[in-house]
Amino acid sequence: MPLSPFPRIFISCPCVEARDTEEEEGKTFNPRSERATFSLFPLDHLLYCDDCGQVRCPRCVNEEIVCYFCPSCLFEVPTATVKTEGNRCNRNCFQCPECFATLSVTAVDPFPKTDEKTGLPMGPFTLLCNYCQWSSAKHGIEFEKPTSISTQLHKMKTANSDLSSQFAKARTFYTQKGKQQDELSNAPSNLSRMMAMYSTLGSLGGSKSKGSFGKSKTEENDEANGVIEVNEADELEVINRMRNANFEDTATLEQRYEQPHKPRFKDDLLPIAALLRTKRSKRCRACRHILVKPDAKVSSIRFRIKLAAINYIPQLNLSRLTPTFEYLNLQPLQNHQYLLTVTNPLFDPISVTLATPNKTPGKYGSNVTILCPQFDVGANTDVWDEALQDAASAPGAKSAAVKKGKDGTGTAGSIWDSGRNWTAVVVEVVPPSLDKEYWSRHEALGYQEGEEEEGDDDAVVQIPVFVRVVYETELVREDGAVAGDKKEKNEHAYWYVLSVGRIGKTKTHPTVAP
Amino acid sequence: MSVQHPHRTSSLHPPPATSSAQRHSHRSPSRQSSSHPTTTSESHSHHRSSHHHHHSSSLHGTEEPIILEIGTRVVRAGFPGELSPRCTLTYKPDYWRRVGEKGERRYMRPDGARGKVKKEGQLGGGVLYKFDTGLKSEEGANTAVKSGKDEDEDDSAEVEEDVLERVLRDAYTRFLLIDPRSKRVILPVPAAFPTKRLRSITKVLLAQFGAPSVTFFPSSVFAVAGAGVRSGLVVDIGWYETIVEGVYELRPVKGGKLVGRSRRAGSMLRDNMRDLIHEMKEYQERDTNGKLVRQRIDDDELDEIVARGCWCRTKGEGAIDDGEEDDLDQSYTIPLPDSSPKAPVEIMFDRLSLPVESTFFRPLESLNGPADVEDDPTLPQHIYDTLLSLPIDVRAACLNKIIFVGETASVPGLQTRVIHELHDIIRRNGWKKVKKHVVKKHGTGAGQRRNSGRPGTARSFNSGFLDQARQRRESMVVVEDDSGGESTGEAAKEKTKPAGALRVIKSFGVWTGGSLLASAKVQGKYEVEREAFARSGYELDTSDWKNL
Repeated sequence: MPLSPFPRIFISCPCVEARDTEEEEGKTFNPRSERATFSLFPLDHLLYCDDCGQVRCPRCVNEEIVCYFCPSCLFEVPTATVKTEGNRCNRNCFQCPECFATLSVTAVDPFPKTDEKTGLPMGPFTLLCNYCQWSSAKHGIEFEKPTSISTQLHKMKTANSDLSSQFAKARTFYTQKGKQQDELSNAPSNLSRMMAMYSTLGSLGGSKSKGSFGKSKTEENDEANGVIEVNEADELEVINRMRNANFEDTATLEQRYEQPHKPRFKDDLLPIAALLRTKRSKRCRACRHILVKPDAKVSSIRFRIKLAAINYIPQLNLSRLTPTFEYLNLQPLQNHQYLLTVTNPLFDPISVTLATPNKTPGKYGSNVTILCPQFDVGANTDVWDEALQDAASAPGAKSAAVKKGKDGTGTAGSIWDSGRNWTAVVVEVVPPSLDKEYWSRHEALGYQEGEEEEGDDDAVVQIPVFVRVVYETELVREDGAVAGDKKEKNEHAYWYVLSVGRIGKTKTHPTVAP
Repeated sequence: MSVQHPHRTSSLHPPPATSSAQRHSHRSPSRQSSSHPTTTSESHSHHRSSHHHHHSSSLHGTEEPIILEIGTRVVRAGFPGELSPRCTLTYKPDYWRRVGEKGERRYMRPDGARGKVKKEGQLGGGVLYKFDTGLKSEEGANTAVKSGKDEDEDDSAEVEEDVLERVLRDAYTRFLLIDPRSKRVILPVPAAFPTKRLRSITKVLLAQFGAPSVTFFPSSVFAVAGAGVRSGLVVDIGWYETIVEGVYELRPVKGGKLVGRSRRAGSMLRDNMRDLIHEMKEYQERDTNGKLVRQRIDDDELDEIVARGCWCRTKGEGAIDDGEEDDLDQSYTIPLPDSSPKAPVEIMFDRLSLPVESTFFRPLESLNGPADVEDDPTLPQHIYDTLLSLPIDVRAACLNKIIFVGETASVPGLQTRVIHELHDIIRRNGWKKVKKHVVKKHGTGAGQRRNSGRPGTARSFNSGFLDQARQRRESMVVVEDDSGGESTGEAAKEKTKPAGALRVIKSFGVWTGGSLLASAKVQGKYEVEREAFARSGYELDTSDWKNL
């Protein structure tokens, strides 16, 4: 059974609407619009600001770094040294330049002699990739000690060193120039000086000025400035090396981008020091309220504060009511029934209103009907409540409250099933049939019949659903006490997008149960 | 950045800029940000005011900035005084995907084969700017370098901002590890960069990330700085266009014509490489019915082939017949990654130099494009034209400091080859500025091409919107000749002189040049601050940016 990528459920973060003021109120959200990609998130990627009463996506939070650490050795790096060390681990942690796996320090000799005093293996050592067998020793990089590899590597003369010294020269050149005068911003004086020069030169005649002009202004000592001429011999050498090497011997683009000296050949790749990571706290952009605050200790995975949206916003789940159809092969013009389950994470019961356009947006619109668009969902009370209730009541008692259709297909206006803090309703989807144009294009792009296209595939049924939740909470006073019977009315309203499957070709023998 | 050359006011060279206002009116409205020659007095006062402006707002002036190079294909970000950027990010398809939908969607096909299939150019295709993807292989020849104005005003500008925001968030949180609100941003801007796009970038940086300010520098200045010199001719071979620009004393020089732009650049090279591979019989396979089908090559596979296998003959076609290279020709196998059903490409190594040949050294008619497309000058000719248009003193300073930047410029052999051909052109033509233009002006169509018997010498601009501007420029050139009166004598002298002064020097590239200048505390003139930008309703006031 192929792993199905359906159903997928996203929430549109309202921060996008807030930014685009031209956006009309009450307009149906179009999941196919190009911009929708950037505002749709799975529920578990969202945070929630309880001051603003609004979900917060990664775009509407500000981040602050709590600590820096190496993901490989879990060593915390003090803030002061992070930048000078290039945001990379300064110890023994390196990445393979070819496959980016973590390298380990091993002795070059497979059966190394051991030091008599310490009992530790003796060098030389190499950085070895346990995944692709890349070894620094094969490229002439061996280490005397198994520790402080970074320092040892730094002292070695590598392909990088020439560049660095050339860069140092150029840097000195500009720093000195910069000190003499602030050339770029202090143009007036510069300009008048040049004009003075020109007026004298002008009287001498153009041809003479040409020879002296370039030099008189700046004495460019090429050697000292690190100026290097491109010469033909060097370029021919590279071409010959390419000619004699295999394509596999040249570094891939991805490998080159990771290396400061942009090597053309794999032989010239250097191990990459592990990139440091950070723990970050997150604040709401609007009210500066802290939404996430991790424990400052590197080894701790605890959060001091974490306001995840999943604890505030109802979660939608989708499943097939009858497992007779395939998500990847929805049958055109047939009724597909899904079970939409709304789960309430709040400690108060909520009343839910679902709204969806009759026809989904896009070139091939499907007809969508939610059989029961208005219903209540129970509070997220103690898990045991349900079990105790169930034990108390007779097994058949609960089903009486639920009005399932006679034939198990659901009836309009009533819910399908409900539990402690969830309610399920039936959603009917009738996809259209795709025209020849679609299929010929699909094939021309090299896709197999049931395969989803990259990007926005017209055949995928995406249903925008506007979920409006109203609930009442007990008003909490400033001192923390509950303010008696006074209740506060709250409301959440978000656009969800349900990707329910992909329209297929009509089967000759329909398998959907009658 | 003052580009101004005092000789414009001297009697030697009457200012060719008399019609700058007219010329301006012929430019696309969204490309306002460049190349307006101004009089010296104007720029003088302008300098003073902006200088003052800077000091009044030097709250962040002392703090170290970051340097951000936002290219069409990659983003580089890092700190000043460092050799290389902290990160080089490409616009991966992931940036166009929904969160939680990341990664190639791979699942078992009915036939059990695992395959990665992509639409060509889908999901951004590795470039940030979508409207430019009109320059694809088939239809590319007639779209030319489009101006920044889209035909259909859709969401694309906003999508660009969204994507850029994701890329920059990656840069800030994974590589720079800083709070974006704490650092000023230094942004190199290529010549003739659309203002609309610059505004998008500024908006993302200031409004979305809350950077204190953005300072713009001409990227050609950074390229020159990256080479360790202060003047030079910058040949920036980018993705959609190649820009040739002179820089004198760290100021970009706008010659008597619009900035030299040509669409002979990276994306055309990739298209030519695709054509080369598609031509091969070996790269066609039979499907189950025995029908011959051409396999598709993904853009990123082509990118790899171009970056790893592409090379350029250091000598032109006439010189190959020496026979020295013939026996060296050997087969070269290019395995196509991640594509099990595809066969590896078997190609002669010598043929891998052909795409560069057709991209930079041959007239474009030899490609598949329709014949009525006006030709772009070849790269050496383009450089020569730009040199010609430069003030003579600047030209002298540039000749021995030709600097190539841009990803495509690193194709081995390309720089040497360009210099060889440029050498030939100079030897043939000297610096005769006027004659050629006058002849050309009356020519039409194919007659415009000079009758030199060599391919790749045809010259003129491809883009229709530049035509009128060009004509105006040409007429100006004539004026210059009349009054200057020295050009012919000059040319004769140049002709007898060996053009041995030509020299290409290596540059660390635009980003590193920026790092050098920023570490020398060079201050920029064009700075936009967060509060001011917000006050202006996120609009850039470019009225006084005459020379960016």
